[in-house]
Amino acid sequence: MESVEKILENWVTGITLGSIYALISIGMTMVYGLIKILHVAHASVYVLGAFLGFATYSLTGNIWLAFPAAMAGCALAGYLIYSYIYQRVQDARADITFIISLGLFMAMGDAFRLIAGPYSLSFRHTFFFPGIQSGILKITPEQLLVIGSSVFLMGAIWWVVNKTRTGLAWKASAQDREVAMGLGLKVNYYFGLNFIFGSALAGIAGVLVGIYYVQVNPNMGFLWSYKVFVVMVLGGLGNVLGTVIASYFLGVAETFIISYFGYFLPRDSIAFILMIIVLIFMPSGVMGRRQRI
Amino acid sequence: MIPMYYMTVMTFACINILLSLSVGVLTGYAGQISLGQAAFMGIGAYTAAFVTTKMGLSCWLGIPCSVFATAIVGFGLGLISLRLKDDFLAIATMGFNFVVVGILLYAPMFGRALGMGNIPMLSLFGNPLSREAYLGFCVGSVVAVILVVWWLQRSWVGLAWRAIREVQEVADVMGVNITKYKIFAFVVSTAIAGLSGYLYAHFVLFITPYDFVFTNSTFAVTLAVLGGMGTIRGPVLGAIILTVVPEYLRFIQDYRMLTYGLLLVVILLFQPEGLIGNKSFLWTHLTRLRIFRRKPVSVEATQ
Amino acid sequence: MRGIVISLCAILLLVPVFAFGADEIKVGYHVPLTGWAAADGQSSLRGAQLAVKFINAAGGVNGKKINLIYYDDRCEAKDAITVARKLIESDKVVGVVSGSYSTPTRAAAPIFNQSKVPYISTIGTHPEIPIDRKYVVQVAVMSEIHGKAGAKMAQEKLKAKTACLLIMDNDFGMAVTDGFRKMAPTFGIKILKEYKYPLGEKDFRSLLSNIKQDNPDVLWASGYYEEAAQICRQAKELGVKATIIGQEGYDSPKLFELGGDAVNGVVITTSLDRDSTRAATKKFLAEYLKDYKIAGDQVAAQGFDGVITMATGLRKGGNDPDKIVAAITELKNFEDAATGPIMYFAENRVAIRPIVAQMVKNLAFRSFFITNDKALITP
Repeated sequence: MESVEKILENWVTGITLGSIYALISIGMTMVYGLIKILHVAHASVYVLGAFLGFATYSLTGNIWLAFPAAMAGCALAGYLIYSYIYQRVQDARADITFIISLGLFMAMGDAFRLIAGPYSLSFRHTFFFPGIQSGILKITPEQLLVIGSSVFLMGAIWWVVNKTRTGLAWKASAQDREVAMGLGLKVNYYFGLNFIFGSALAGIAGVLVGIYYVQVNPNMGFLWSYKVFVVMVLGGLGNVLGTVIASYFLGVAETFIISYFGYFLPRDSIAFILMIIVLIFMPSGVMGRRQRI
Repeated sequence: MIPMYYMTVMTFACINILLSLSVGVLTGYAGQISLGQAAFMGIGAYTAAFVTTKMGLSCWLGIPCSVFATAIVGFGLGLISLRLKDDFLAIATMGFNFVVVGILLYAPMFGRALGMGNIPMLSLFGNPLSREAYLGFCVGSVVAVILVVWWLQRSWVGLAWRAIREVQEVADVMGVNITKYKIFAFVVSTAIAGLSGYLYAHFVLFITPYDFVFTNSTFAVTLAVLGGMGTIRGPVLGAIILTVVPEYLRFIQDYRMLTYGLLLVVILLFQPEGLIGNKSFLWTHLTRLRIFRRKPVSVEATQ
Repeated sequence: MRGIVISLCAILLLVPVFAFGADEIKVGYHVPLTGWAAADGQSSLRGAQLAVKFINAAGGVNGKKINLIYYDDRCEAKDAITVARKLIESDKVVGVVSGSYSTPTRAAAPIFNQSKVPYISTIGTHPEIPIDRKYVVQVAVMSEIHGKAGAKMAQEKLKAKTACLLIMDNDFGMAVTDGFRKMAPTFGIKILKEYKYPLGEKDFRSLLSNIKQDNPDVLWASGYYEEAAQICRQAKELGVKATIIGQEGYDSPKLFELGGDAVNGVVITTSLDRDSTRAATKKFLAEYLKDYKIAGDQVAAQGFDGVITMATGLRKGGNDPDKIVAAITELKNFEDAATGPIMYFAENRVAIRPIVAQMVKNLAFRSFFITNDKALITP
């Protein structure tokens, strides 16, 4: 006899989790869609965002300043990574760019540890707005923030991709880079913009996760260095809409599976099994490999 | 008498060489990316542990058992790989690693999180092999595997692999049996990784699932890529360097991982073919040195 | 030019081999300084270094100062093995203390034992570590004992009749829970349900929703302080009413930082009693706070104890490994340890010590319970 309360709680948890997955994965999938690099270091940019947000909050006491600070810092980091590292190896073999990204991820992770210490830092803030508490439905302010931010940001992304020239340029470059270049499109500029955009998103995600779990620590990116791939594959590599759907699906599915079956395997293994099953039957992911941004 | 410290490092180097060669065969020769080699090492190690501790059989039987068990799973992965390409394959093998570790972590017969301990050392007629002898055995295994790989890549198999790696569709059209050779690459590669696991189990003498996590798979790929893919010397050198150098970096141990990551980035940015890969700076200059020339050269500046 | 470079490299190669020091005693220490366990590693090392400071300030061991040679083992078995060899051969240490978790300690123990180097384990509590190894001593109490004492405390102080178990699935988490599970029936506690979770998990909401439905009196939750902070907070958010019982994994000032008000009322079984009137404990806590500007935690205190114990053994045993180990294992009611007295050492060289419990009140650990009950604290 399952209580409705428990089911509702699981939905809220799952959707919040899905929102987090989406925020982190969208940036990554946008990058992949254009540049075709498995950007493992995206997880480090995410951690950077969390730390920048935390530092800003500690210095100013204003939580809303944390977001732009994180976005700016991560955008800058993204720019640096793209210009000085990825641009050089864009056409190299996939495994080489992967290892480079991995090396970057390791170096940045350890840099965080050296600068901020190995301990988790408490990122606590009580929001002025209340959560939702009507009857048995309970959503905490933090959960509201995460879900609300994701919805807002996804709307923003949709608008950028579909209603601006930049978005058009991205779609064009994704479809056929050479032709786009041949037609005079400053492809590198748009690639860079895309990268910066994705990195800024990662930064926001970092701050939100830091707030939601009330901590930032140098290791928090480790999970995302691989989990994001599950989401991307489920949604179709490079496909933003698919990634969003896959994120929510995964967040909710994981929550319910664990609630009813417990951890018959660690959470990540469960996610990967789902992914492998999908891959066996749909080798191009759920949404296929339509090179849409 | 070499100090045990050096022997320990060298033994680990041998284990890592095998791991690195397994990546070299699969990715360097056949062009199939795998981010799950650590899982196969784990299968090999756990088989070795299981055979000796739970089944009480001779430790030498572990060799065929480990290799065989790993090869079977590798065969399965090879079948799955047929449907997947490149990045999807990479991610699928990553997932495979997680699932295997997850199973090892939760399966009671593999000791769950506590792993399997009390693995006996290799012994001959009842006497455990000394550390020197074990190192010798490891070196011997490495040499044997190198010979096998060298022979394979010189044969038709190697040619087929190269065709698959570089021009898969063309090879297919020309009648090369892609399926057979891809699966064979997986089987060989995973068998080598399994052997690496066997040697690991009988050296460290207890294993836990955390020894074979995804991080170690990326480590394996790093070893091969750093040295230079598409060769035998590349993975070997990469493994030796990345086993030995962290020991020397111990005096800056707080900055070890940072240095390690940065080195990777810098080296690969400037030498994507690996340190002594076929087009790398070091290799092209090494092969130009007089001592490597076969024919005498009339006038050449000495170094 | 090339010659110079080569020579420099050769010299660099020799650096690790070079062992300095004439008039000092070298004690080895291995901890995870990088990797996922870096936080505990740093605490442990700090505790150890504080101990060295105390010892050297008081004149050292038989007049000679202690030089603590420490290495990073990344919490991995293979690194521990390599480091063990290095300490024994390159650094030629006279004794080693492990500030690392069970897995690396387990890997290194047979090596130290075989080379006859006295080895003290501080937070590695896997039962296999000291078995049949006469040079390996464990100053930390076996994990299981925390569980057993916890059961008694639950019944005596919390009047618990029902419990749910939330088990971290690594060796530590499972071992402490085994003890609780075993003893719960003896104290009249019924275990309603068990839930397992993987190390590193941050989101416990789905499990906690279930636990809320089960409605136990207490929730026995094993984990390290990071997981603990999340468990406590999320439990409070969801409205779980059970009192949460943790263990020494929770024992860190970080628990309050990360968990906030949600951890008030949580009880933990541990060895370090903040309210203790013991001189050694008070001195440790005061000095640690002064030197490191952060409150000392259980892991640091254990590291401290390991080194203090080793020094005591060295004082009486000199360079002779058998004598050193004998000096340690013959200790009775050893009061110099920060985490509580070592009553004596059992036959398998594991320390027998009282277990304390602390309750969190106003974001501080306060004394709650203590037991010397022989039936519980002996394995």
